[in-house]
Amino acid sequence: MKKNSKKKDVPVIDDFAKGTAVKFEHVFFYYDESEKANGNYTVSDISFTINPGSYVTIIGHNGSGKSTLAKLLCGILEPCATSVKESGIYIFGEKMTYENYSRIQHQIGMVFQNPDNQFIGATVKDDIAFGLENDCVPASEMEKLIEEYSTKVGMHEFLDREPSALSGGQKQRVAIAGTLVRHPKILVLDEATSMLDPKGKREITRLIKMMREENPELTIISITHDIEEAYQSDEVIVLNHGKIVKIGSPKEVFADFETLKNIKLDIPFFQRLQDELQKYGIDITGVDDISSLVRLLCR
Amino acid sequence: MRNFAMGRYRPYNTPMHRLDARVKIIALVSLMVAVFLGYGSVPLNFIIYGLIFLGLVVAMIIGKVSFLGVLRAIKAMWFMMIFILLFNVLIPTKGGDYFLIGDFKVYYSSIYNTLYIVFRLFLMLMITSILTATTSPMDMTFGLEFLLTPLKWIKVPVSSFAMILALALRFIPTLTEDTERLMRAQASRGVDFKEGKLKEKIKSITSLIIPLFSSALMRSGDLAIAMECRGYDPKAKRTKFRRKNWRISDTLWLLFFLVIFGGSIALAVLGGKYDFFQMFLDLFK
Ligand SMILES: Nc1ncnc2c1ncn2[C@@H]1O[C@H](COP(=O)(O)OP(=O)(O)OP(=O)(O)O)[C@@H](O)[C@H]1O
Ligand SMILES: [Mg+2]
Repeated sequence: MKKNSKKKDVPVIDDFAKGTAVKFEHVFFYYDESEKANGNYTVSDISFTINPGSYVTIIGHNGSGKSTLAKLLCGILEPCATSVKESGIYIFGEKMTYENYSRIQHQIGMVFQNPDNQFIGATVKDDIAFGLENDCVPASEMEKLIEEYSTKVGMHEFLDREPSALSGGQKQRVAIAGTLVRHPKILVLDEATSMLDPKGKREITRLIKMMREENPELTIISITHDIEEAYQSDEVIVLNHGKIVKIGSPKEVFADFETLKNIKLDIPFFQRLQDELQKYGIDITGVDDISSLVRLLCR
Repeated sequence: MRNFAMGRYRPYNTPMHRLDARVKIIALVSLMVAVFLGYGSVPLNFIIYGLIFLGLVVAMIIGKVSFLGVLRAIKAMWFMMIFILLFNVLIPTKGGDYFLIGDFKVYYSSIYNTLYIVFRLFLMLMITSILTATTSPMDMTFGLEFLLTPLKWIKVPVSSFAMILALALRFIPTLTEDTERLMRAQASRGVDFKEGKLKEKIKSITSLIIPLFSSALMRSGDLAIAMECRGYDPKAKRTKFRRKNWRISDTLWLLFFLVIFGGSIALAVLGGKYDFFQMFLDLFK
């Protein structure tokens, strides 16, 4: 997509998608003409709705089209035209088009998998400032915002560090700060923790939790291979070969053993445990953290 | 080991580091001009080069620039020095004083010419390494972008070039790490980068370059997407986070280097007509 920043356009909210943060309606996408000819879409007939302020995870094995979906969502890729009139991507009720996508992009922040490839500035400070520079924030305000957001992600004492002197988890936290500082309404995390060690992973998970408590309006869409993370979210979307296999609350989705096994996805520890215990007549539904589970079982 | 490499930026907080990058770039240009001019007479040339040398040594001490890198550079220049000397001696000159080695006339002027070249190269090395060691890449790109602003008026995308330069500098350590990792990976598969015939060496380098390019391309693709997601538009106006506060001392140094610039050109032009050194000596007669 090319930018068209000259033309100032005003948001047109479709009734059809009113009140949703993200709405995908019959979205198709392919990278390759020849693939399309075979009917092999990379993303095929995807429709779903995400409500403002919810925390949604997308799971699926490698190559199932998760990253493609994320790129479609932030307007880096454009879905292909279909015969359905409503078909398209709606962000806060507004259909994303060639004309308005650079404005809509403002509401979406994205954090990617590789910590090195999204570190743009020469130092932590510069990296957080990058988005602000693009938004033409005056330099005097930048200083304040950088202070605030670097403190939020716990990187305040590293402001002058270069990326090569930071751990992967720290770089990822900088990327989150650099994204949040632009006040997006939707935050997309594309496997933001998959290149991190367990400690880095925990840091990021804690950070996401904190962000949600601080700003309940923020919609978070997290693409992940971490089944346990998916288990903690409000809603899970399961992708397979570019199609949605299952969508719903984690309890619903993970209860469907057969489907998940068919597409070779893991089952979260809790769900497996619950299932096993059920065989012995022990019911642990409603318990979702380790300590209360231990308490319940020891009773 | 890489920490002592010549010209690598070292983040101290010295007056040299605090000096505005734009002033330092202008200083570089004016000193280069001063170094590459000839001032008419041999003693005067050496006096001026010597003064510049002393000034640079002081700057290096103030800016905590390591001498080691420059010393290494001299070591590397030995071979070249001998080569240039031979070249100058063997080429027939107009005349002047000479001394004999056996039957061969060695003109003093050819020795001086060699020394000039060596001195100039050496001073240039000093100047650039002082600049790069005391100016962070960010400041340097900012300074260059500012100084090249006039080119924007003829529609040269200076800001984009500055961004490219900044990104290239940002990714040097990342790509160096990549190279090291690849070298280890290939070495563990039996590729030998040190020994072997030229043909084998070229082959082993290929096994390094191709994956390196592919990873660099992958990175640049990711980077472009990340930049777009944070609202970067090369054509749009953007504000600058790094502002430099211009201080009185910056103005003074700027004036100083402009004087050096103008002065050295004037001296070189006049030096062609008058022998200042001789005039100076005559004063004491
Ligand atoms: N730029 C591209 N050009 C052509 N094909 C692509 C491109 N990017 C991805 N694909 C293909 O599209 C399919 C989906 O890729 P995608 O990156 O969306 O998967 P993913 O679910 O994110 O996988 P992973 O879990 O490995 O990140 C894959 O088969 C991939 O080969
Ligand atoms: Mg992916």
